[in-house]
Amino acid sequence: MPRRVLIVEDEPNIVESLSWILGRAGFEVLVESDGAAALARIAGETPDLVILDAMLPGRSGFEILRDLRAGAATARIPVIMLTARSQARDREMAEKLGVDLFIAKPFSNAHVVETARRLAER
Amino acid sequence: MARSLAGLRIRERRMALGLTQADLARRAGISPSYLNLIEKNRRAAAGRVLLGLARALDVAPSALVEGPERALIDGLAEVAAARGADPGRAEELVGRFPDWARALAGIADENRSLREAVAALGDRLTHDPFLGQSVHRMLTNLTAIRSTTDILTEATGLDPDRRARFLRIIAEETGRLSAVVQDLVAYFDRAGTDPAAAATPEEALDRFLAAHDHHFPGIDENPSDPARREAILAAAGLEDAGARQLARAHLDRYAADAALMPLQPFAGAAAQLGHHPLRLADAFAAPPLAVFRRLATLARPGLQAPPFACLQMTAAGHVEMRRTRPGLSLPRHGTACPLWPIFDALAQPGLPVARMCRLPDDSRILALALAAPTSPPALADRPRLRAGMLLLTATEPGAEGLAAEAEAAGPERRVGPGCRLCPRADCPERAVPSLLG
Repeated sequence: MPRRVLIVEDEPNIVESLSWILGRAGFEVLVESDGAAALARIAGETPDLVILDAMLPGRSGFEILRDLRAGAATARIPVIMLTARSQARDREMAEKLGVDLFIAKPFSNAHVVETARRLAER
Repeated sequence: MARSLAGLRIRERRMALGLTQADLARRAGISPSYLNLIEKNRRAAAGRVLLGLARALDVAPSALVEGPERALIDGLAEVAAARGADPGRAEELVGRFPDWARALAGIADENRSLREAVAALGDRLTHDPFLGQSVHRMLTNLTAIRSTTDILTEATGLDPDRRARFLRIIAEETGRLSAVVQDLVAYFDRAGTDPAAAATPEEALDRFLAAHDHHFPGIDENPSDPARREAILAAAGLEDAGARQLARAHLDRYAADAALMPLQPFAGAAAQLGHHPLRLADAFAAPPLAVFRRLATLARPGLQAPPFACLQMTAAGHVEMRRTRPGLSLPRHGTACPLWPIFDALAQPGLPVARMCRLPDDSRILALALAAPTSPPALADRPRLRAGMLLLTATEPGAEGLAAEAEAAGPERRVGPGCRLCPRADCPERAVPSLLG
């Protein structure tokens, strides 16, 4: 049974390449571009992994992460946060909120795939 | 031109005292023929001669001169007051050492311009939304390009459609990246050759408004004619679409204010009501924030009014209107000093806040602030708030009633130009260290 990953990202071209590399790596890929809709999708489909952009329309990635960690059914879902802002305070905030990994853009495909496999198998 | 009155004044004062030219010349230590030339304005009375004449006539030297020297004396008095020296001796300095006085005034002017330039540049570097957004856009474009390129170089057996699609993404994102980089290059080019040049739409709007000294007689004549606004915009030569949009919004607001408060009746009522914004709002049934804006653009050639500065912002601190005055620079981006009454007003919408404020250079500023909803009441949502603040250097005449209310409203408030440019080390509101050490 393939592992399911939800990509929450609002840049369509980044979504397209992420979907392709993760699909080729054997994941079933779900996509959500709006922050507010992402939480409901996660609660409904319980993916094995969430790849979350920090800056989203609707709700920020940090807010989504906080709510995920607060929900009983979603608290243990691994989360990789992607961000164009790699300042120490963003990283600290994400770690405090319980992110599993923080990857700064522009990322390497190999790194994303390898991390996604490792976290989804947990 | 300005000096032409000096001879006349000396002559009038001499005759009022019943002195002959010979009497006055002797007392002032000059020859009667030289005095004669001065009284006929063929020689200028300056320096020691002016001081001697003033002493002999028992008047202050400033009573005998006008124009450049008066401005110099006033300027130096301000410098002295800010530095703890005796402003009353500025006249003596100008009289005895005119060259040194002019040099000192020049240094003070240069210092003021440099401070304003530092404020503008500091503002730009720390809060410039353009730079922040550009970096974010570039990282986003690069992420898509890098990820897609990796796929094309590493993946074997890509079907032709997929390959073409990925190539299109790279072309698309490369095009976007080039546009961001070109914008950035243009930004630094303009900023590098002329620090005052508009590098952002907000700066372009500032320059456009400054070029018009914030008033538009064409719109005042006929506020309901959109063609007048379009003509002003067309002549402004604003290249940037964002700047044009800001300028258009500003002119539309100006026209709406002018329609509600036509220039001549408003100027008359303002003078009668002591330039009191709340009384004027009542008289014209106008929103107080519109009255703030109108008052800040009232003073102009041929129309006497106090030189108000004005700031209007959203609840998040986005500045929508900004009218500065010399010595009263207001920040363009968020992060103003939180002690300005405009933030008190935001905490209590509908309630006007009047306060006397003191800047670090010791100048006193009269401030009146108010926050008001700009959207109709709705059950489902909170109102959209705008806050405005009207400022006036306390020594300016014309708004004595408002000044008295501000004095009575509470103790003087120690405010600043924003943490980075504020020297107050002991401020409880300090958020970031000062650039001034």
